[in-house]
Amino acid sequence: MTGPGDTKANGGEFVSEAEDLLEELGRELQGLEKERRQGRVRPQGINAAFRHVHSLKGLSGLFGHAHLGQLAHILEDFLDGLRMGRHPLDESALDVLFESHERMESMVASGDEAQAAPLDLINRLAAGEEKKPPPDGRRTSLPEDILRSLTRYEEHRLDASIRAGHELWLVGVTLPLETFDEDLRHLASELNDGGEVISTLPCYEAGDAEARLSFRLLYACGSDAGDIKERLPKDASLEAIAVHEPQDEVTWVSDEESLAGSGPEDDVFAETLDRASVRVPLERLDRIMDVVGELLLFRHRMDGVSRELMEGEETRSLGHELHRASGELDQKLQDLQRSVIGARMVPVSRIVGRLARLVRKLARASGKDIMLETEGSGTELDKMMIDHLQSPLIHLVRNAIHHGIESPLERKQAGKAPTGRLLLKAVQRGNEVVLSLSDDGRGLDLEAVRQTAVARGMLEENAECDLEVARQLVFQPGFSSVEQVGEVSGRGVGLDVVKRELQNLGGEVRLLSEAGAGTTVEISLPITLAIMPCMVVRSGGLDFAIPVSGISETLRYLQERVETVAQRPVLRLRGETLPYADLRELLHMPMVNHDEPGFVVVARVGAGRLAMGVDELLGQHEVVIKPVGPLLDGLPGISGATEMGGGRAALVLDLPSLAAAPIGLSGSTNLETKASP
Amino acid sequence: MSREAMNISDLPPSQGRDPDKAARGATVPVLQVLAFRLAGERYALDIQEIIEILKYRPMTPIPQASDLIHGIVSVRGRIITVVDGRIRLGLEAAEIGAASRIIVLRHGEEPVGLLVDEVLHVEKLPVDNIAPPPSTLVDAAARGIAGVCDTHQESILILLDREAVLNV
Repeated sequence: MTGPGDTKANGGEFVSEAEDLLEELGRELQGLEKERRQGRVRPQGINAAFRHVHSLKGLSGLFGHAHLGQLAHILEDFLDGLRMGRHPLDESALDVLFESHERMESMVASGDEAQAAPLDLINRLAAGEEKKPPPDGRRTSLPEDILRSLTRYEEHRLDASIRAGHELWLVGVTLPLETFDEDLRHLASELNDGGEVISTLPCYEAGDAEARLSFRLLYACGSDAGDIKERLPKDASLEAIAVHEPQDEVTWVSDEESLAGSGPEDDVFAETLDRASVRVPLERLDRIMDVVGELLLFRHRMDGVSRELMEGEETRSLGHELHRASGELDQKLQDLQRSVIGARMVPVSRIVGRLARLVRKLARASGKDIMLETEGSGTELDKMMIDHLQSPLIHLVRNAIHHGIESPLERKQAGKAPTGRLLLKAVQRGNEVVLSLSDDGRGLDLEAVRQTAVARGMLEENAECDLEVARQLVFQPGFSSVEQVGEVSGRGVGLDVVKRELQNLGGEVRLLSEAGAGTTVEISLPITLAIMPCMVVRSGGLDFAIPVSGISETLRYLQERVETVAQRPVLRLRGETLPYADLRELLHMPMVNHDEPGFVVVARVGAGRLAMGVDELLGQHEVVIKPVGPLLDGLPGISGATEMGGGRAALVLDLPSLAAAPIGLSGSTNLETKASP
Repeated sequence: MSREAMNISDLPPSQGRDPDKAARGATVPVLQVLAFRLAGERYALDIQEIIEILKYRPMTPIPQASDLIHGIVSVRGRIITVVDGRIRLGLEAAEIGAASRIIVLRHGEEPVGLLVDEVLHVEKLPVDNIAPPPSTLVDAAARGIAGVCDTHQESILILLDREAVLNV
């Protein structure tokens, strides 16, 4: 059945699939650029880009997006040219690739019809195609039958390997019939580690009584026979292939060193099969999550019932049975919960592509040479977090490029490499992911910060501005040291916005800087906001949930531990002095009776710690955190709410804003602060 | 939970606003509203803004929130913020009674509850009979009062604007 609704749904399907392909294409292009800089372009990068463009062409055809299809078609030819070595991967080729990518993105975003045919790009891509193919390959001592059976792509790879000066080998192996494909794959991956298996050719030897098959592998490699032999099975043969002509000087892209492997031509599309996944709208996962949360509440209720039963004389054994069942149910529910959370996870690399393209663009616009590198981009975060991280990260990248990284000339004078380095690093620590963006630029300019702060009336005329003060200042609302609103950096928003956006995600930001050596912005985020292990506490008759990730320890309240420093209460803990406040004070709740709290929760806030007195600790729970809605948004100390069973709701505490509360503490400067690293 | 929640569809049926009919001039256009009581006065909200009506249940008060916020409550996995109707309209505060209800209203992505003394009934108001608030009530707009309607019943019905009432 088709109807208007179907067309709309299909449109959405097209967009999300096209976006995925473009994202992957973008990642490959970024990889190609990086490899080009390092002087070794691996053929599989180009193959993958080619594959994505090919899929995009098919997709456009399927949904009738003529302009996009046209561009994808010519781009596919262009990439094929690169792949087959007809055309070098030079700066201009990368430019046209990146531009085509950007154009296709906007075509997908705004709808095909809204855009004119991309004739300019089509002409440039077609012009690239007209460049001369490289000269023919050199002669080798390869047997005629092997040369004849090579595909065009394999011929090209052979050519490229010879020109790159690699040794050629012919490996002979005999493998059992039952396991040969598995064995071959294993052998190829072993060999591809240090070279490239150009072609795998079966040979038919008559009179093979045992059910075994023989293969010859054409292998290009930089290492010597001894090394290769180590990778081969005992009974394999190894024969060197002589190359008659010397290495060519011309550097065509695909001629560059290609140590890692590349599959034969037929494998170009093979990876597409790996994508055995389905697309699920996030709301559906949210719904499943809600149900899991509700089930956990039911289980708590079951536990209560079983405990009551266990107390009764006659019902004791029944109670024990229910208790056991409830325990098993709990295990399964936790499995279920983990799986649902797992389904929401996406790797950080999902935003890397966009950032890398932004870096390329901004670096060009500002005449700087900058490379974005990533570490740990496979680290996973909730999809929702990843989506919301994009804009703060873009802002930080803009900042680093505009303020941090110097021009190539300045860098030379400072004795640095002309290419600036931006490093995006992701590390998982327990239930948190720490993302850091570091540049190797000039570091925070304290004098500039001081002047701006004075000009904005945020600092006294003669006030000193050390690193600690500067770190506080740059996160203040209204502080933005960019004078003009330019394309490169600054849209009139400052780091305070970044900080707020990240705090809304339950995250925290820290700025580390070293004069002349660079700036690092460190962001710690919970892996997911959907569910969080929380310590539930009672204070002033209300229940509150505190994310466990923010708690450094809990202890019994002892009157003698609390003293005052300049009229402010502090808690002595193993020789350290922590700011202390009763949670009721922090939340401005009425202190009806001035009873002593029963317990102290020591929370981590930024680099400091805060000790809070609470009446009771009610234990740790996996908590499904819900937004409190627009009427309560921005209320200090509260980041959400959660159901505690029976329709009761508990508030989830937001430690950073709680610590900044004006009572008991005046701003985060009152927090115990460790020396900056 | 269904015992405690009333669905709007359970209330007496009616046609509500009908622009088609109005255009044809066949019948007088009517606005279907839910009438409720606050401090002895009768108030009403457009029924299309209402998701459900809940019996009063214990709520979690919110420290540091304005007095208008009565608390939050979890309803089928959703956290609903409840606005105290009396305080919102500048009427004297009162204890929760057996007839107290929470009218759950659409409001952006998260529904919001309005605490009222008593829910009365669904009523159809001829749009022509709705008059602007009396000129002496200078802060009518700020209180969220959109108009009044004399229904020739016990008292005048005060029509509220959901958006304005919840804009706190």
